[in-house]
Amino acid sequence: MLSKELVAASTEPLVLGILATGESYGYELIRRVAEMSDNRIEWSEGMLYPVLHYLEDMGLIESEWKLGDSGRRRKYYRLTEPGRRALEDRKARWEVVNTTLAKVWMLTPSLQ
Amino acid sequence: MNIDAQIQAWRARLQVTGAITADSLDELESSLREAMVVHIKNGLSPQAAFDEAQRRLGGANELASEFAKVDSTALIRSRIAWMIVGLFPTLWYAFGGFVAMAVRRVEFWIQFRGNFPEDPLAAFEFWRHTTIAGLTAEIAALGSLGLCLRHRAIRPLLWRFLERLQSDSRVQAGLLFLGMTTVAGLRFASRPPTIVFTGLIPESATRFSLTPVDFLSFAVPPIALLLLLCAILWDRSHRTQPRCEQLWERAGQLVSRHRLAWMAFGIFGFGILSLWVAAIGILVLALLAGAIEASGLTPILEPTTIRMMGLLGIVPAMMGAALLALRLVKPIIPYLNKSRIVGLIQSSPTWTLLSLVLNLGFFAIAPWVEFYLVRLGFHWSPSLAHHLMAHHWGVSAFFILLNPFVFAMIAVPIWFTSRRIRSRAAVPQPV
Repeated sequence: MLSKELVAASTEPLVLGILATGESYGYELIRRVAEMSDNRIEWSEGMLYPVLHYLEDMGLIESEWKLGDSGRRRKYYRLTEPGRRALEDRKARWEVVNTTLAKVWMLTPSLQ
Repeated sequence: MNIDAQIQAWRARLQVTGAITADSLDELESSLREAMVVHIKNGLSPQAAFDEAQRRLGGANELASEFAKVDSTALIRSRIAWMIVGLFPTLWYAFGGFVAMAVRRVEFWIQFRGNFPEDPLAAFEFWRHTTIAGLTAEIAALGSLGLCLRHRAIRPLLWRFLERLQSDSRVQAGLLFLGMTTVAGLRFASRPPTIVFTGLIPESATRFSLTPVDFLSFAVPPIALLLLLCAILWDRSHRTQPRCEQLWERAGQLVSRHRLAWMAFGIFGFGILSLWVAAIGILVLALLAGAIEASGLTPILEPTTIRMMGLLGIVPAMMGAALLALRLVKPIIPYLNKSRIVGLIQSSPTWTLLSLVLNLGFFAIAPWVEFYLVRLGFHWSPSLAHHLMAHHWGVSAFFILLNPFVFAMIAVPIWFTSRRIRSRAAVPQPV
């Protein structure tokens, strides 16, 4: 299980990243992240929706109520142009963390 | 209960927290229903699917605190909305007092032909019995308002208005400002400076001059609110259910601990603030009138008395200042970062308690301040009293102009608190 801090830090790039592949709604975002992480990242609605609203406030995503395929109303979110730029920025930051960590793991004998 | 009714009840529980907007509630409900569909596909019964989906979403308080962390706007809006609801009876009460004052003025002219009475006891008796008449007029006015609101044609409008009040901050800002300005203005207009009268009365009478009647008038706004709520909730058109049961069911949907607390703050908080402002105003006006009367620069109050009166008005200003100071020193003193302190400041019971203590304090202190003023050898002159009586329209306008100060005292701490929550909840960034 990931720590609370790590979940909080990774939520924003994950949301932006998934929305870059096309519009989506809250429940589906939760499901997709769980799927992609083999159920190791479990988001809750209470955590996700406030983050989505925060990102919307910042202008990184926008939302619209629509009727889904099942006939139920859903609020779909999609990435905006500033959101796309923000995603590039987040991606670059996480790359730094990733590559640095990869090098550190290489230096740590027990982990090789 | 069927599933839809259960979902509505679940929504109502979330709504009462005040932290979740109607749009977010729709979104949460949509999520709940999506999860239920998946559970039903996996073989659960509709009831079990609802229970499971609801459990996974978390309790109302948990969800509310998560939403409030990132966006406290809904929470603040809901607090202000219920404060405004609390302000209504105060407003009506102040209006009743204004009517009472009009009655007093008419009586004043009939009895004394516009001249202030020479005999202090006659003045005191006049003041006291018109106050009781005024209170009766206030309660009658409130009763008539209750009856109006119970009317079938008006009630739906009232519900719609309450909904709008909770969601539209422009309506809130306008009503808050208008309400507070009017309350303070009417309150002063309805309350001729009692100090002026009591200063003329023999010492033995001073002790009894303010307390009983003023304590009675202090009880009017909460009683009024209770009456209004009952009047609104009591629905004549639904006779199928026992009336009492219906009333409690409706009341349960409408009232929560937080809403009640913020309504009480609306009643006592605004009431007391307008009183404090009136106290400072009386002092300023007394000084002005005294200067005119003496046609020189002879002070009409002793310096110690002026300081004592000034202290009365400083208290609410200190409340606001303390909140600001807390925000400023917060980064320096780690102890103040503790969530329980922040929680205490933000909690509605704290504010309500504070406003109650101040309100009671005012009524407890005021007669004694007046009593000792007289004992100190200070007497207000009849012509000064006449000045204040004659110019009370101008005085009301003066208080209306003074009210942005009161407004700022309420708005600034709320604004800072909401900003603090927002900045604290910003999503953390790596690197």
